Amino acid sequence: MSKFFCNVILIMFVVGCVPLETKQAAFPDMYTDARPTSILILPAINKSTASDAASYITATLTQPFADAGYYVFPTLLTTDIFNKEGILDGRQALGIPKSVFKKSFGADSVLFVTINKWDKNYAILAANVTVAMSYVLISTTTEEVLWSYDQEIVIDTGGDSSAGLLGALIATAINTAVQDYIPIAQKVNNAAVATLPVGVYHPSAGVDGAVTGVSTEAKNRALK
Amino acid sequence: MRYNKGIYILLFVLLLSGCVVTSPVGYYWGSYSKTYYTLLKDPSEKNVLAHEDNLRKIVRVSEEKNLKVAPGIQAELGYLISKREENQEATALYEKEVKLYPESRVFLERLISSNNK
Repeated sequence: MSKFFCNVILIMFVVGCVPLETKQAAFPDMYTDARPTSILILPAINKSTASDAASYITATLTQPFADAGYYVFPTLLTTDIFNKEGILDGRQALGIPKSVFKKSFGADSVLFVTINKWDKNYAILAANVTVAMSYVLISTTTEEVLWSYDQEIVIDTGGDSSAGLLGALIATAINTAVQDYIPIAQKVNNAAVATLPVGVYHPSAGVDGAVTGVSTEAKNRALK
Repeated sequence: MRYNKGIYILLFVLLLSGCVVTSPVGYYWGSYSKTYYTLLKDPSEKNVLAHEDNLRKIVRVSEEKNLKVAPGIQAELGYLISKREENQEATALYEKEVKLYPESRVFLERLISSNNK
């Protein structure tokens, strides 16, 4: 390891940054035969107060995981099938042996997604949205956790101080009402998936182990 | 090297001209998330059709650009079509998905056999 790199890590510790790991150190199973080729996404577990949050997340989840090189089962179909089986929320699938998903879907792994926060905050001169998510990918063969991550983002959604106090108030209210949340959902998903070792359809499959930026704390927090 | 440079310039021009935006793996998604979200929010006939049109466009553009159609797209399109009892077209789309992504075989073969009943 170069001296420069060591210094960077040392400085990050000193300034109180979170400790970061490489993808391979954080998720070693993903660099063995245990790495899945396909992901079955279970209906989102919504612990937030926003009822529409699950739709935003469901509509934006497939793309980043497919772009990371995995086969993602089409959620439009799988959600319908889960619903017919009485599973409307991923919580109801927690107790099911993962081998069931291997048998009925042929899926190598299942993804549990939890929406922890979807908070719209208003203030006079500013507004923002805080979204916090947990992602847990589990092998359907070994039942082991293959990848987990906790991701929170805060997006500024309004407030324009140049328009004066009343103008700002109106702008904030309007912005928050018509806010398009799809880019926000995409942003939180993309940020989390950036820590996922890529799959077989990605050109860097198996060789991205040295990529760093995985927060150990975020990895562990998702499992709580 | 000169050849490589030419490709980059070509890609850059393509990007600038707004031809198609693909992901790093090379999938074209169009406005997939948008029409899917609208359908989830309100599964009216109009919104289902809008998503179906969008899926058809994704398949068409991918084929035109010689890109691999993204995972799930053809299966999803087949599923929407099968709801109208147009089982032949649906089955053909499921078979295309299985050919492109063998991971989907176990799952889609069930749908194919139920379509053929």
